[in-house]
Amino acid sequence: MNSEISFYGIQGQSVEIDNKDYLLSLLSYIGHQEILTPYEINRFQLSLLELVKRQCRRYNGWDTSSIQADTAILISEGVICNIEQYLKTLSTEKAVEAIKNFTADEIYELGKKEVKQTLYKCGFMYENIMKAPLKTNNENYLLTLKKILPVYFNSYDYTFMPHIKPDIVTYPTAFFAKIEALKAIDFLKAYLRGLLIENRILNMFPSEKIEKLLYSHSNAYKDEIISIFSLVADNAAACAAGDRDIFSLNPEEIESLPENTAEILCNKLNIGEGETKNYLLQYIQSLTKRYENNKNVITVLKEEKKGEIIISLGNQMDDDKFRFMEYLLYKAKNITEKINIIKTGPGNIKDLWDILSSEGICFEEYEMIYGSLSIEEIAALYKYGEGDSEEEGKKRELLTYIKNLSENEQKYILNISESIVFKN
Amino acid sequence: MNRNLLALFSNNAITKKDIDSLMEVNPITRKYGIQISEEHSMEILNYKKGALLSNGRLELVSNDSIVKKLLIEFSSSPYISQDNIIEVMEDLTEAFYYFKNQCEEEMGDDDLIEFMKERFDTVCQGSVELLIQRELEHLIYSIKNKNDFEGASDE
Repeated sequence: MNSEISFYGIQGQSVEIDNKDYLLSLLSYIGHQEILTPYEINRFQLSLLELVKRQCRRYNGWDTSSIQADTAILISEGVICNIEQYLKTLSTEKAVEAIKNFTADEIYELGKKEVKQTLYKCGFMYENIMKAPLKTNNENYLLTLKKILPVYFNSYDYTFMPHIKPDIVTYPTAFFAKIEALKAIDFLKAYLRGLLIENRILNMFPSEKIEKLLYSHSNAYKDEIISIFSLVADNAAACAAGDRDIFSLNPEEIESLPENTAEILCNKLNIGEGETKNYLLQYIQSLTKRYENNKNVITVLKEEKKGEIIISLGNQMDDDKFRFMEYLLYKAKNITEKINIIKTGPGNIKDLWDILSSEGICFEEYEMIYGSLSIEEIAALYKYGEGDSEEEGKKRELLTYIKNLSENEQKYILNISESIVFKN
Repeated sequence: MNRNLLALFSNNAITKKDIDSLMEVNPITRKYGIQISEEHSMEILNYKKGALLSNGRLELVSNDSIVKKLLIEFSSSPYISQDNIIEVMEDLTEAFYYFKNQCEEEMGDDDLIEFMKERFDTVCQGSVELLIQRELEHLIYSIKNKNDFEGASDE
């Protein structure tokens, strides 16, 4: 078997070194160019096979003589990933030398060190991002930053599965499509670098302007998978091109971007030479192409009515929490306990409205419950109740409660309720 | 690439050395009236290769490792004789790899073989069918539910 080993397809056609399949293409290249003898290539491949076998046994605990094929594939991918991490730090000539002079084990260990160092750098970038995260309500941004990445850092396995990527990164950076195919640690490094630079730039803009832009892009922006940086950069570039205040993010329609748009932007944002400037230049280049293809580029800001009171419907309680609150109301010994539950439990107007239908509340208790709420909360309930077609006791009792208030209070409630807008 | 690499794992053709190595169990098994011939060795090793394949597993050590352990362990069973050793070995090898998959690598080879032997000789009274369908299924259930598998069949 030993003399016939050639799983890297040395007889294949490709002589180019492909970054995606680095080790395979490097071995093919070495074979084609006859840089190493078949014996030397064979020796390396055999040591790689032995390393994979040993890693498989380590993974399963030593007391095992076999392994599931799928697991073995994952482990072999992990071994190759670490080996590639080291070889990629070298020039092609040095990488060939390494294959000639080292065993797969030795290169694997050097690669593991390289991965650990990169992971450390990634952790540092993540900490920097978290020092000043963007103030936004976009759930995908928050989820990626606060949950997905920390879990990934904690569970990253550089010994056996260094190539496994975070499960789902729900927030795309501007160049996400370009880095998506990278292997785990390379992906993480490129992703965090992009996120860090984008954050740095986004934090130069007023957060309320960014939120307004996002809202103008879509009412449901909180749940959408969108690149906030792209939206902001598109509008800021159009502002720069149209000689408007870039921080207003409110440009006029333009047909193309002048060549010096990136420079103007960098000047206005006080961005000097370095990776931030390069990133922005690269982005503006891609944006120029979009203008050339006549794509709709800017987001027109929606003007909100003056005096509009926006009440966020936010995240609703899940069924289990809701039922638990109903149970607490049912079990509450007196009206004080019930009021306490109602005032502290529901996180938004919809939950508050729904919990008021609970069987744990008697008709005669509504007056005291409404009495415990602020006049603004009553106005919000009144407005929300208008949209509820069901004729329930809580609605009748609310109208009765309002009718019994003073004339001024009634007017105030009506005025406020007219200005209230519920948004997701 | 990785599939090609892994193909080499299972590229272990049965050699004369493997057959001879398996026959090294004879001094032990002969004490219990069991003699493994060259044909037996070939048959057992071939069957093991098929069992690995059908259960999607790859062997990491020498060709005869598991079957050797099974032969040594089970030859002392009062329910195994020269007449049924090959048939039982085939069923045990298949069961062994099937349950290695099922217990998601939670159990080492030696522990699983020891458990199989103990149950085979006691509550199963030599029935491979009972061993597989009741005892090993109980074991898997217990492992998945994080219970102590000892006494699973006593319930």
